[in-house]
Amino acid sequence: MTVLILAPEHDLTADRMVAHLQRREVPAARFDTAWFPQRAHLAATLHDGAWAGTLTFGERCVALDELRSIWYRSPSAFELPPALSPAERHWAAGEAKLGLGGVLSALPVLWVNQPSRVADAAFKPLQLRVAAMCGLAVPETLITNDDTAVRCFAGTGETVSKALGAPSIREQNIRMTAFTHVLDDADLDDLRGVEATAHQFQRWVPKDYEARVIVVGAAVFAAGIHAGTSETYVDWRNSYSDLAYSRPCPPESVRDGVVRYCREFGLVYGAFDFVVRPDGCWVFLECNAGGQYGWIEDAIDAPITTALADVLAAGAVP
Amino acid sequence: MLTYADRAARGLLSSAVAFESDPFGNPGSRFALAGFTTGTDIGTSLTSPVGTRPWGLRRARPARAGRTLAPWTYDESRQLAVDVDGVPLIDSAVHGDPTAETTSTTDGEDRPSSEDWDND
Repeated sequence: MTVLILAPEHDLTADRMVAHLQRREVPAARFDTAWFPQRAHLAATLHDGAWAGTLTFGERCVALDELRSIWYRSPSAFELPPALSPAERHWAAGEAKLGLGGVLSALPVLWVNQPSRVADAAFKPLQLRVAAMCGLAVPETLITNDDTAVRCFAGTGETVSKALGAPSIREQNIRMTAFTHVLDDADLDDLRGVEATAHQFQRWVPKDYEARVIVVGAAVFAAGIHAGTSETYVDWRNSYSDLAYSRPCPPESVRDGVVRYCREFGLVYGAFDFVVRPDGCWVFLECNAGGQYGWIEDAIDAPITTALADVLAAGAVP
Repeated sequence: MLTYADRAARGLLSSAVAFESDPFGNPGSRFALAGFTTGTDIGTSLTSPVGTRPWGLRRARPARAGRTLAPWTYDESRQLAVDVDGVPLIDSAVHGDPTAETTSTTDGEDRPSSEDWDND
Protein backbone atom coordinates (compact mmCIF):
# COMPACT_ATOMS: atom_id res chain seq x y z
CA MET A 1 0.00 0.00 0.00
CA THR A 2 1.44 3.29 -1.12
CA VAL A 3 1.24 6.88 0.08
CA LEU A 4 0.76 9.25 -2.86
CA ILE A 5 2.29 12.67 -2.28
CA LEU A 6 1.01 15.40 -4.58
CA ALA A 7 3.52 18.22 -4.33
CA PRO A 8 5.62 20.52 -6.50
CA GLU A 9 9.18 19.51 -7.34
CA HIS A 10 10.66 22.10 -5.00
CA ASP A 11 9.05 21.63 -1.64
CA LEU A 12 11.41 20.96 1.23
CA THR A 13 8.61 19.88 3.50
CA ALA A 14 7.54 17.24 1.00
CA ASP A 15 11.20 16.24 0.64
CA ARG A 16 11.36 15.76 4.37
CA MET A 17 8.22 13.61 4.32
CA VAL A 18 9.56 11.45 1.50
CA ALA A 19 12.77 10.84 3.44
CA HIS A 20 10.81 10.13 6.61
CA LEU A 21 8.55 7.58 4.92
CA GLN A 22 11.54 5.95 3.27
CA ARG A 23 13.22 5.53 6.65
CA ARG A 24 10.06 3.85 7.92
CA GLU A 25 9.96 1.71 4.77
CA VAL A 26 6.52 3.00 3.89
CA PRO A 27 6.12 2.96 0.09
CA ALA A 28 5.63 6.49 -1.18
CA ALA A 29 5.19 7.92 -4.66
CA ARG A 30 5.60 11.64 -5.22
CA PHE A 31 3.81 13.22 -8.14
CA ASP A 32 3.45 16.80 -9.30
CA THR A 33 0.28 17.42 -11.26
CA ALA A 34 2.34 19.67 -13.54
CA TRP A 35 3.67 16.46 -15.05
CA PHE A 36 0.21 15.63 -16.37
CA PRO A 37 -0.51 15.12 -19.20
CA GLN A 38 2.84 15.55 -20.93
CA ARG A 39 5.06 13.55 -18.58
CA ALA A 40 2.53 11.26 -16.97
CA HIS A 41 -0.06 8.79 -18.13
CA LEU A 42 -3.31 7.82 -16.48
CA ALA A 43 -5.18 4.64 -17.33
CA ALA A 44 -8.09 4.07 -14.96
CA THR A 45 -11.00 1.71 -15.41
CA LEU A 46 -14.23 1.42 -13.48
CA HIS A 47 -15.04 -2.24 -12.91
CA ASP A 48 -17.59 -3.65 -10.50
CA GLY A 49 -18.08 -0.19 -9.09
CA ALA A 50 -14.45 0.46 -8.20
CA TRP A 51 -11.71 2.37 -9.96
CA ALA A 52 -8.45 0.62 -10.70
CA GLY A 53 -5.56 1.23 -13.04
CA THR A 54 -2.27 3.03 -13.08
CA LEU A 55 -0.69 6.44 -12.91
CA THR A 56 2.67 6.26 -14.65
CA PHE A 57 5.42 8.89 -14.52
CA GLY A 58 9.15 8.54 -15.03
CA GLU A 59 10.10 5.04 -14.03
CA ARG A 60 7.28 4.80 -11.55
CA CYS A 61 3.96 3.05 -12.05
CA VAL A 62 1.46 3.57 -9.25
CA ALA A 63 -1.39 1.10 -8.94
CA LEU A 64 -4.42 3.14 -8.01
CA ASP A 65 -6.06 0.36 -6.03
CA GLU A 66 -2.96 0.00 -3.90
CA LEU A 67 -2.99 3.54 -2.57
CA ARG A 68 -3.69 3.97 1.11
CA SER A 69 -3.59 7.74 1.39
CA ILE A 70 -2.98 10.93 -0.59
CA TRP A 71 -1.17 13.98 0.77
CA TYR A 72 -2.31 17.01 -1.19
CA ARG A 73 0.41 19.60 -0.76
CA SER A 74 -0.27 22.36 -3.24
CA PRO A 75 0.88 20.57 -6.40
CA SER A 76 1.42 22.68 -9.52
CA ALA A 77 -1.05 23.47 -12.26
CA PHE A 78 -1.30 21.07 -15.18
CA GLU A 79 1.19 21.79 -17.94
CA LEU A 80 -0.60 21.29 -21.21
CA PRO A 81 0.90 20.91 -24.67
CA PRO A 82 2.16 24.36 -25.73
CA ALA A 83 0.62 24.02 -29.16
CA LEU A 84 -2.88 24.25 -27.74
CA SER A 85 -4.83 27.44 -28.31
CA PRO A 86 -6.00 29.33 -25.18
CA ALA A 87 -9.50 27.95 -25.63
CA GLU A 88 -8.22 24.43 -26.10
CA ARG A 89 -5.95 24.86 -23.10
CA HIS A 90 -8.82 26.00 -20.89
CA TRP A 91 -10.94 23.06 -21.96
CA ALA A 92 -8.12 20.58 -21.61
CA ALA A 93 -7.27 21.84 -18.12
CA GLY A 94 -10.86 21.30 -17.08
CA GLU A 95 -10.86 17.79 -18.48
CA ALA A 96 -7.59 17.03 -16.70
CA LYS A 97 -9.00 18.29 -13.41
CA LEU A 98 -12.21 16.34 -13.76
CA GLY A 99 -10.46 13.24 -15.09
CA LEU A 100 -7.31 12.84 -13.01
CA GLY A 101 -8.72 14.70 -10.03
CA GLY A 102 -11.97 12.82 -10.36
CA VAL A 103 -10.36 9.39 -10.41
CA LEU A 104 -8.17 10.16 -7.42
CA SER A 105 -11.14 11.63 -5.56
CA ALA A 106 -13.10 8.45 -6.23
CA LEU A 107 -10.53 6.21 -4.58
CA PRO A 108 -11.39 4.92 -1.11
CA VAL A 109 -8.30 6.44 0.50
CA LEU A 110 -7.55 8.98 3.17
CA TRP A 111 -6.81 12.48 1.86
CA VAL A 112 -4.79 15.04 3.76
CA ASN A 113 -6.67 17.16 2.85
CA GLN A 114 -9.30 16.47 0.24
CA PRO A 115 -9.05 19.47 -2.14
CA SER A 116 -12.78 20.08 -2.15
CA ARG A 117 -12.79 20.27 1.64
CA VAL A 118 -9.90 22.74 1.43
CA ALA A 119 -11.93 24.83 -0.99
CA ASP A 120 -14.94 24.67 1.30
CA ALA A 121 -12.82 25.84 4.20
CA ALA A 122 -11.39 28.83 2.33
CA PHE A 123 -14.26 31.20 3.11
CA LYS A 124 -13.09 33.38 6.00
CA PRO A 125 -16.62 34.37 7.06
CA LEU A 126 -17.54 30.70 7.23
CA GLN A 127 -14.34 29.94 9.14
CA LEU A 128 -15.26 32.49 11.78
CA ARG A 129 -18.78 31.15 12.17
CA VAL A 130 -17.65 27.54 12.41
CA ALA A 131 -14.89 28.51 14.84
CA ALA A 132 -17.45 30.22 17.07
CA MET A 133 -19.67 27.17 16.79
CA CYS A 134 -16.72 25.09 18.00
CA GLY A 135 -16.36 27.18 21.12
CA LEU A 136 -13.46 29.35 19.94
CA ALA A 137 -13.38 33.08 20.64
CA VAL A 138 -13.55 35.12 17.43
CA PRO A 139 -13.16 38.85 16.80
CA GLU A 140 -15.99 41.08 15.66
CA THR A 141 -15.76 41.28 11.90
CA LEU A 142 -17.25 43.38 9.13
CA ILE A 143 -17.34 42.37 5.47
CA THR A 144 -18.47 45.22 3.30
CA ASN A 145 -18.00 47.42 0.27
CA ASP A 146 -19.81 50.30 1.98
CA ASP A 147 -17.70 53.12 3.42
CA THR A 148 -20.43 54.15 5.84
CA ALA A 149 -20.43 50.67 7.33
CA VAL A 150 -16.66 50.88 7.72
CA ARG A 151 -16.82 54.19 9.58
CA CYS A 152 -19.61 52.90 11.79
CA PHE A 153 -17.65 49.74 12.67
CA ALA A 154 -14.38 51.58 13.19
CA GLY A 155 -16.15 54.12 15.36
CA THR A 156 -16.80 51.50 18.01
CA GLY A 157 -13.27 50.22 18.51
CA GLU A 158 -9.78 49.86 17.15
CA THR A 159 -9.98 48.19 13.76
CA VAL A 160 -7.73 46.41 11.31
CA SER A 161 -8.17 45.60 7.65
CA LYS A 162 -6.99 42.35 6.18
CA ALA A 163 -7.47 40.51 2.94
CA LEU A 164 -10.06 37.77 2.73
CA GLY A 165 -7.76 35.72 0.52
CA ALA A 166 -4.22 36.14 -0.70
CA PRO A 167 -2.63 39.29 0.75
CA SER A 168 -0.66 39.94 -2.38
CA ILE A 169 -0.86 40.95 -5.98
CA ARG A 170 1.59 41.00 -8.87
CA GLU A 171 1.78 44.26 -10.80
CA GLN A 172 4.32 45.40 -13.37
CA ASN A 173 6.13 42.17 -12.57
CA ILE A 174 6.59 43.19 -8.96
CA ARG A 175 5.12 41.21 -6.09
CA MET A 176 3.18 43.52 -3.82
CA THR A 177 1.92 42.59 -0.37
CA ALA A 178 -0.92 44.04 1.65
CA PHE A 179 -0.76 42.64 5.14
CA THR A 180 -2.92 43.46 8.13
CA HIS A 181 -3.22 47.20 8.68
CA VAL A 182 -4.44 49.14 11.71
CA LEU A 183 -6.87 51.82 10.58
CA ASP A 184 -6.15 55.44 11.52
CA ASP A 185 -7.96 58.72 10.99
CA ALA A 186 -6.38 59.23 7.59
CA ASP A 187 -7.73 55.89 6.43
CA LEU A 188 -11.22 56.74 7.57
CA ASP A 189 -11.04 60.15 5.90
CA ASP A 190 -10.47 58.57 2.51
CA LEU A 191 -12.13 55.24 1.92
CA ARG A 192 -12.34 55.58 -1.83
CA GLY A 193 -12.01 52.17 -3.37
CA VAL A 194 -13.85 50.33 -0.60
CA GLU A 195 -16.78 50.13 -2.96
CA ALA A 196 -14.64 48.33 -5.55
CA THR A 197 -14.95 44.95 -3.88
CA ALA A 198 -15.63 43.20 -0.58
CA HIS A 199 -13.28 44.17 2.22
CA GLN A 200 -12.72 42.62 5.61
CA PHE A 201 -12.45 44.75 8.72
CA GLN A 202 -11.89 43.24 12.10
CA ARG A 203 -11.68 44.42 15.67
CA TRP A 204 -8.07 44.70 16.79
CA VAL A 205 -7.44 42.06 19.43
CA PRO A 206 -5.12 43.15 22.28
CA LYS A 207 -2.09 40.97 21.82
CA ASP A 208 0.47 39.37 24.07
CA TYR A 209 1.69 37.19 21.23
CA GLU A 210 0.33 35.19 18.33
CA ALA A 211 0.19 31.46 17.94
CA ARG A 212 0.09 29.01 15.11
CA VAL A 213 -1.68 25.80 16.01
CA ILE A 214 -1.20 22.78 13.79
CA VAL A 215 -3.78 20.02 13.88
CA VAL A 216 -2.97 16.59 12.49
CA GLY A 217 -5.90 14.29 13.12
CA ALA A 218 -6.29 14.42 16.87
CA ALA A 219 -2.79 15.73 17.52
CA VAL A 220 -2.37 19.42 18.31
CA PHE A 221 0.91 21.34 18.16
CA ALA A 222 1.12 24.99 19.20
CA ALA A 223 3.84 27.53 18.54
CA GLY A 224 3.91 30.96 20.10
CA ILE A 225 5.05 33.64 17.64
CA HIS A 226 6.60 36.65 19.32
CA ALA A 227 7.07 39.82 17.32
CA GLY A 228 10.30 41.74 17.53
CA THR A 229 9.20 44.86 15.67
CA SER A 230 6.15 47.07 15.47
CA GLU A 231 5.48 45.76 11.98
CA THR A 232 5.52 42.12 12.98
CA TYR A 233 3.47 42.96 16.06
CA VAL A 234 0.61 43.87 13.71
CA ASP A 235 1.24 41.03 11.24
CA TRP A 236 4.06 38.54 11.80
CA ARG A 237 4.26 37.78 8.09
CA ASN A 238 5.98 41.12 7.57
CA SER A 239 9.39 39.74 8.50
CA TYR A 240 10.21 36.21 9.62
CA SER A 241 13.65 37.20 10.80
CA ASP A 242 12.15 39.44 13.47
CA LEU A 243 10.23 36.64 15.16
CA ALA A 244 10.94 34.46 18.15
CA TYR A 245 9.10 31.26 19.01
CA SER A 246 7.89 29.49 22.10
CA ARG A 247 5.91 26.37 22.82
CA PRO A 248 2.80 27.42 24.75
CA CYS A 249 0.15 25.06 26.03
CA PRO A 250 -3.23 26.03 24.59
CA PRO A 251 -6.24 25.88 26.89
CA GLU A 252 -8.19 22.64 26.67
CA SER A 253 -11.11 24.50 25.09
CA VAL A 254 -8.82 25.62 22.27
CA ARG A 255 -7.41 22.13 21.74
CA ASP A 256 -10.91 20.70 21.62
CA GLY A 257 -12.17 23.53 19.46
CA VAL A 258 -9.58 23.21 16.72
CA VAL A 259 -10.02 19.44 16.48
CA ARG A 260 -13.78 19.87 16.30
CA TYR A 261 -13.34 22.62 13.70
CA CYS A 262 -11.37 20.26 11.48
CA ARG A 263 -13.98 17.57 11.91
CA GLU A 264 -16.71 20.03 10.94
CA PHE A 265 -14.94 20.87 7.70
CA GLY A 266 -13.79 17.31 7.01
CA LEU A 267 -10.14 18.31 7.39
CA VAL A 268 -7.39 16.02 8.66
CA TYR A 269 -4.86 18.87 8.78
CA GLY A 270 -5.23 22.52 9.62
CA ALA A 271 -2.92 25.46 10.38
CA PHE A 272 -4.68 27.86 12.73
CA ASP A 273 -3.71 31.40 13.60
CA PHE A 274 -4.61 32.80 17.00
CA VAL A 275 -3.96 35.96 18.94
CA VAL A 276 -3.23 35.33 22.61
CA ARG A 277 -4.48 38.28 24.60
CA PRO A 278 -2.68 39.61 27.69
CA ASP A 279 -5.39 38.00 29.82
CA GLY A 280 -4.52 34.60 28.31
CA CYS A 281 -7.59 34.25 26.10
CA TRP A 282 -6.89 32.69 22.70
CA VAL A 283 -8.76 34.38 19.85
CA PHE A 284 -9.16 32.59 16.54
CA LEU A 285 -8.19 34.56 13.45
CA GLU A 286 -8.25 32.01 10.66
CA CYS A 287 -7.40 28.50 9.61
CA ASN A 288 -5.46 27.62 6.51
CA ALA A 289 -6.18 24.04 5.53
CA GLY A 290 -3.00 24.01 3.46
CA GLY A 291 -0.87 26.17 5.72
CA GLN A 292 2.83 25.61 6.20
CA TYR A 293 4.28 23.84 9.20
CA GLY A 294 7.90 23.03 8.33
CA TRP A 295 9.39 26.17 9.81
CA ILE A 296 7.26 25.83 12.92
CA GLU A 297 8.34 22.23 13.31
CA ASP A 298 11.95 23.36 13.40
CA ALA A 299 11.30 26.38 15.57
CA ILE A 300 9.61 24.48 18.39
CA ASP A 301 11.07 21.04 17.74
CA ALA A 302 7.66 19.45 17.32
CA PRO A 303 7.24 16.06 15.61
CA ILE A 304 4.70 17.26 13.07
CA THR A 305 6.18 15.33 10.15
CA THR A 306 6.05 12.19 12.28
CA ALA A 307 2.42 12.80 13.18
CA LEU A 308 1.50 13.39 9.55
CA ALA A 309 3.44 10.32 8.47
CA ASP A 310 1.60 8.25 11.07
CA VAL A 311 -1.71 9.30 9.57
CA LEU A 312 -0.60 8.83 5.96
CA ALA A 313 0.95 5.45 6.68
CA ALA A 314 -2.13 4.23 8.52
CA GLY A 315 -4.48 5.58 5.88
CA ALA A 316 -6.70 6.62 8.75
CA VAL A 317 -6.97 9.16 11.53
CA PRO A 318 -6.24 7.51 14.88
CA MET B 1 -26.29 16.50 13.29
CA LEU B 2 -24.53 16.73 9.96
CA THR B 3 -21.10 18.31 9.92
CA TYR B 4 -20.34 20.94 7.34
CA ALA B 5 -18.32 18.34 5.44
CA ASP B 6 -21.27 15.96 5.45
CA ARG B 7 -23.54 18.62 4.04
CA ALA B 8 -20.99 19.60 1.42
CA ALA B 9 -20.49 15.98 0.41
CA ARG B 10 -24.22 15.60 -0.08
CA GLY B 11 -24.38 18.68 -2.25
CA LEU B 12 -26.35 20.60 0.34
CA LEU B 13 -23.93 23.50 0.30
CA SER B 14 -22.20 25.37 -2.43
CA SER B 15 -18.46 25.15 -2.15
CA ALA B 16 -15.91 27.86 -1.72
CA VAL B 17 -13.30 29.49 -3.84
CA ALA B 18 -11.01 27.38 -5.93
CA PHE B 19 -8.20 29.04 -7.76
CA GLU B 20 -7.87 28.36 -11.43
CA SER B 21 -4.33 27.16 -10.98
CA ASP B 22 -5.32 24.62 -8.38
CA PRO B 23 -5.27 21.34 -10.25
CA PHE B 24 -7.96 19.65 -8.23
CA GLY B 25 -9.97 22.43 -6.65
CA ASN B 26 -13.62 21.58 -6.48
CA PRO B 27 -15.04 22.26 -9.98
CA GLY B 28 -18.25 23.40 -8.37
CA SER B 29 -16.44 25.82 -6.15
CA ARG B 30 -16.59 28.92 -8.29
CA PHE B 31 -19.01 30.93 -6.25
CA ALA B 32 -20.34 33.66 -8.49
CA LEU B 33 -17.37 33.30 -10.75
CA ALA B 34 -18.96 31.82 -13.86
CA GLY B 35 -17.12 33.18 -16.85
CA PHE B 36 -14.56 34.86 -14.66
CA THR B 37 -11.04 34.77 -15.93
CA THR B 38 -7.90 36.39 -14.69
CA GLY B 39 -6.29 36.38 -18.09
CA THR B 40 -2.70 35.45 -18.67
CA ASP B 41 -0.90 38.77 -18.34
CA ILE B 42 -2.08 40.11 -14.99
CA GLY B 43 1.49 40.21 -13.76
CA THR B 44 2.12 43.21 -15.97
CA SER B 45 -0.96 45.11 -14.81
CA LEU B 46 -0.57 48.77 -14.00
CA THR B 47 -1.65 50.25 -10.69
CA SER B 48 -4.98 52.05 -10.87
CA PRO B 49 -5.34 55.55 -9.40
CA VAL B 50 -6.70 56.08 -5.91
CA GLY B 51 -10.45 55.90 -6.11
CA THR B 52 -10.38 53.17 -8.67
CA ARG B 53 -7.96 50.82 -6.97
CA PRO B 54 -9.56 48.63 -4.31
CA TRP B 55 -8.99 50.27 -0.94
CA GLY B 56 -7.50 47.07 0.42
CA LEU B 57 -4.63 47.35 -2.03
CA ARG B 58 -3.86 51.00 -1.41
CA ARG B 59 -1.10 50.19 1.06
CA ALA B 60 0.31 47.30 -0.94
CA ARG B 61 4.06 47.57 -1.13
CA PRO B 62 6.78 45.59 -2.85
CA ALA B 63 7.58 42.37 -1.07
CA ARG B 64 11.01 42.12 0.42
CA ALA B 65 13.42 40.14 -1.63
CA GLY B 66 13.38 36.42 -1.11
CA ARG B 67 16.44 34.27 -0.96
CA THR B 68 18.21 33.40 -4.19
CA LEU B 69 18.43 29.69 -4.59
CA ALA B 70 21.49 27.83 -5.68
CA PRO B 71 20.92 25.53 -8.67
CA TRP B 72 18.91 22.43 -7.90
CA THR B 73 17.21 19.62 -9.77
CA TYR B 74 14.52 17.15 -8.95
CA ASP B 75 15.81 13.63 -8.47
CA GLU B 76 13.06 11.36 -9.79
CA SER B 77 14.59 8.28 -8.27
CA ARG B 78 14.92 9.66 -4.75
CA GLN B 79 11.80 11.80 -5.19
CA LEU B 80 13.31 14.94 -3.75
CA ALA B 81 15.28 17.99 -4.79
CA VAL B 82 19.07 17.82 -4.86
CA ASP B 83 21.87 20.32 -5.38
CA VAL B 84 24.45 20.18 -8.16
CA ASP B 85 26.43 17.59 -6.20
CA GLY B 86 23.42 15.36 -5.78
CA VAL B 87 23.02 16.19 -2.09
CA PRO B 88 19.36 16.38 -1.03
CA LEU B 89 18.46 19.97 -0.29
CA ILE B 90 17.09 18.94 3.09
CA ASP B 91 20.62 17.77 3.99
CA SER B 92 22.31 20.82 2.57
CA ALA B 93 23.49 23.60 4.85
CA VAL B 94 22.43 26.17 2.27
CA HIS B 95 18.94 24.89 1.74
CA GLY B 96 18.23 22.93 4.82
CA ASP B 97 17.11 25.68 7.14
CA PRO B 98 13.46 26.34 6.54
CA THR B 99 13.63 29.42 8.69
CA ALA B 100 16.04 31.11 6.35
CA GLU B 101 15.84 34.84 5.80
CA THR B 102 13.09 35.56 3.36
CA THR B 103 9.63 36.93 3.01
CA SER B 104 8.89 35.25 -0.24
CA THR B 105 5.94 33.42 1.21
CA THR B 106 3.03 34.70 3.18
CA ASP B 107 2.55 31.64 5.26
CA GLY B 108 5.76 30.46 6.76
CA GLU B 109 8.93 29.43 5.18
CA ASP B 110 8.77 25.82 4.20
CA ARG B 111 10.06 26.29 0.72
CA PRO B 112 12.15 29.39 0.45
CA SER B 113 12.19 29.82 -3.28
CA SER B 114 8.54 29.32 -3.89
CA GLU B 115 5.98 32.04 -4.04
CA ASP B 116 3.29 30.70 -1.84
CA TRP B 117 1.11 33.72 -2.18
CA ASP B 118 -2.23 31.99 -2.32
CA ASN B 119 -1.41 30.12 0.83
CA ASP B 120 -2.01 32.95 3.25
